[in-house]
Amino acid sequence: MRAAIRSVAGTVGMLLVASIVVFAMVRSAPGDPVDVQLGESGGISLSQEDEDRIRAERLAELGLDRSLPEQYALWLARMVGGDWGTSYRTGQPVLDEMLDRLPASLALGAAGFGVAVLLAGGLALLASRRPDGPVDQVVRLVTLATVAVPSFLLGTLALQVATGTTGYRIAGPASLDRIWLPALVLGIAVTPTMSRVLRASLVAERGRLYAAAALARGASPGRTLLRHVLRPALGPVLILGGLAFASLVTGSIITEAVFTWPGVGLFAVDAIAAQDYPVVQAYVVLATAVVVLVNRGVDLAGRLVDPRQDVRAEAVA
Amino acid sequence: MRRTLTAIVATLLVAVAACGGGGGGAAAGQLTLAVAKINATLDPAEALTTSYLRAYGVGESLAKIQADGTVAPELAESIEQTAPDTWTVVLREDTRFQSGAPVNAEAVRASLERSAAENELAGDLLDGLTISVADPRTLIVRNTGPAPFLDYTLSHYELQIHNVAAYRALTGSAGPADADFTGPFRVTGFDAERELTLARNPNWWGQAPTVETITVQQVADPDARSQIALAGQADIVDLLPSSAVPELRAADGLTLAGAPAANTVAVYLNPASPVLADQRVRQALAWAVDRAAVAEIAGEGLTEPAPSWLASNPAYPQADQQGFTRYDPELAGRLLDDAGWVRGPDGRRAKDGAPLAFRLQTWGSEGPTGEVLQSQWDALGADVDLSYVDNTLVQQARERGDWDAQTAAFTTLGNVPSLFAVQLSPSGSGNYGHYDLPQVAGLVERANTAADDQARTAAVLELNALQAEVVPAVPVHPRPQATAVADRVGGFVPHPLQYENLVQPGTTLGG
Repeated sequence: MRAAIRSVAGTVGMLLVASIVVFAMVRSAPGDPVDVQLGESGGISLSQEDEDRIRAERLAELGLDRSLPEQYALWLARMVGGDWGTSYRTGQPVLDEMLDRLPASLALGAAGFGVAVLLAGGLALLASRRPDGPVDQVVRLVTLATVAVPSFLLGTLALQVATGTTGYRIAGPASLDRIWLPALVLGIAVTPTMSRVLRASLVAERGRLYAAAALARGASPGRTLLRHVLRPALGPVLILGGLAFASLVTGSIITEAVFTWPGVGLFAVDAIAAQDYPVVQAYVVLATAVVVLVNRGVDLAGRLVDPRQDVRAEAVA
Repeated sequence: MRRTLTAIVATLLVAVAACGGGGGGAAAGQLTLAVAKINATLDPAEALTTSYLRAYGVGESLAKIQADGTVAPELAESIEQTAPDTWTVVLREDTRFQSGAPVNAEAVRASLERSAAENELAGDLLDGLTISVADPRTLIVRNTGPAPFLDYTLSHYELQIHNVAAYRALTGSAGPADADFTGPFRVTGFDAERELTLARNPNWWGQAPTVETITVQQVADPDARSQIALAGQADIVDLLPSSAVPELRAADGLTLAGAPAANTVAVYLNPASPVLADQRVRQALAWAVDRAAVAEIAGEGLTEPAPSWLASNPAYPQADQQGFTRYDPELAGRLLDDAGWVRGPDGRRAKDGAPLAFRLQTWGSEGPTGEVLQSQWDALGADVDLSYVDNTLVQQARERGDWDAQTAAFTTLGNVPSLFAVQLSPSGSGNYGHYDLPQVAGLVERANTAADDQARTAAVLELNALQAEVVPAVPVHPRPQATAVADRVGGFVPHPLQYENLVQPGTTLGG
């Protein structure tokens, strides 16, 4: 019970700190949303006096003429009460906009994670069969090369190839016929780290006494791997995978922009360009919440996969 | 564990199999646009909305600026100056809003008044104007002083005519059913920042367009837009990056339309900077620009040299003969010598031990222009510290006065004397260097009170010449506008204001 209370308090504290940092960072960026709006006033010849007047009126309308602490307190109170504010650009409630786009991001993140699990699992199994053997060396080279390619470049190249060969539809709503390519790119981007960690973990677990005992009892190498080695080897990968999943759901901004995937990431990119404060702030708080929740979930999953963690935790306590 | 892995593999295989190709071919009668940005809302009184609605044929103003820079009536049948301070607007007969409600003089006045009250930029355009209804089809628009360019003002996209009754009752955001304009296409679906769908407006006053429906998709990433154009997944794709121009030029099935924009990319110079205080230095920098090379290299041949600031306005072809009509590095060198900035043994210029060096900030699409200018001014013996930054940083540097040279591109179409006043008069919001030129007020007054077009044009050209003499900004080229148009599209009009002219009533679709 005490641990649960501690966990909830920690989560709330983390979100609060994140909200302050986000607010400070967003507001310290040069310019404001009115700059963006006035910047688009093509052909309207404003005198300096008129421009200043319009700016002051608009800032007051948006509540940006108040002091920063006042703005923060107001925003936080509203957020807690479920009012995430209104987008400066679309005039729609931010919460509605986010909830509208979140399923697309969740689907893409989950699909990308699925690809990563498959690829990382496959590569790690291949590489760990004979550590430092030719296959391991090739896998190491391939994963290193993949890490070196920025995801936007990978995405742009994939888009070029796929539109030319499969007629991949670049723009449009979130749909099955569009998700596979960004999911593949996202999956490939996080595969190297996951596969290297899993490979190291598998090699370490295979060298343990219980694995040798299983083999000595006549279990096949495949059975030993799947029934005895894989489960404890997943511990470190779970933590990494959890973080990767959270970042795929909330942080695939560039991939969403390249593939025009209508998720929260793309929405955030547009909001940053227009200095749409309520959207940017809500996005970062949402992303933080997802990361925190996924971390908690990973802790729980880790204990289920490897109950020895509980014993270790108790021993430390 | 094995069962879990098998389930994951099976699920992914089913998903990938279900994906298929999904090419999405173009439907007959349906025009598809992929654009950098769609309207933020459907209410013309909101910011970031109106120019987009006009671009896709949803909204109309009383008049419209044509591709040659002149004004023609749009929703109005005629717009005429009937006194120096008065214009008479006669509406077309039997025009209706998209909902079927009649468009009469009262409705137009209500629309303009709503725009003025709720949209600051529209309010500024209509400031000082009195609009009265003479009869159901006639409006009288009076200004507090002479207003020879009022037809340009009434052409502005911020002044699109909408049915105020449809918006007055709204408690939330306007939806497709609320959007009530007069253009050839009406809104049928709207998903902010994602997609806008339109259908032919049966109540439009003109000949019915052949295009039946339009889908406008927002694709913010420029490279993704290039791919869409190359793959033929949209009929019209706007604001393509210059890096994609060679590939798009070579592509089959599309044409790259690139009318130079009616704005002049210019390097604004801060006379408070010790190096740039001397007019001869500013003139030298202007003469040392090989504009043809800049247009070719930075603009990928989609733009042209602008020897003077007004040269990007197609209504003033005389402006092409003003200002820096040739590349003259010798003259530039002599001007710098006269000003005391002489070349040293290393080829660099200096005066009293101080090098001829200044900072140049570029932003937006002007990065390549800055790079070519840096190279050309380097040949002159000037050291240019070039940086490519966000527009907000450019604005902040200006507000602090901590800048030497910055690129900017003002629109040159519209109320031209007023556009000059903005840049040259002490109270102008675009007078970044705070130049104080006593001649400007008189020339603006002369242009506004001229008895005829000839005298008015003469005053405008004098303003342009003054700009070229003082050089608050070095004019370089109009902003290039690269738009890909599929071969099946007919009637596409390259326009200096392409951003508000992507779809025309006469746009047609082939097979």
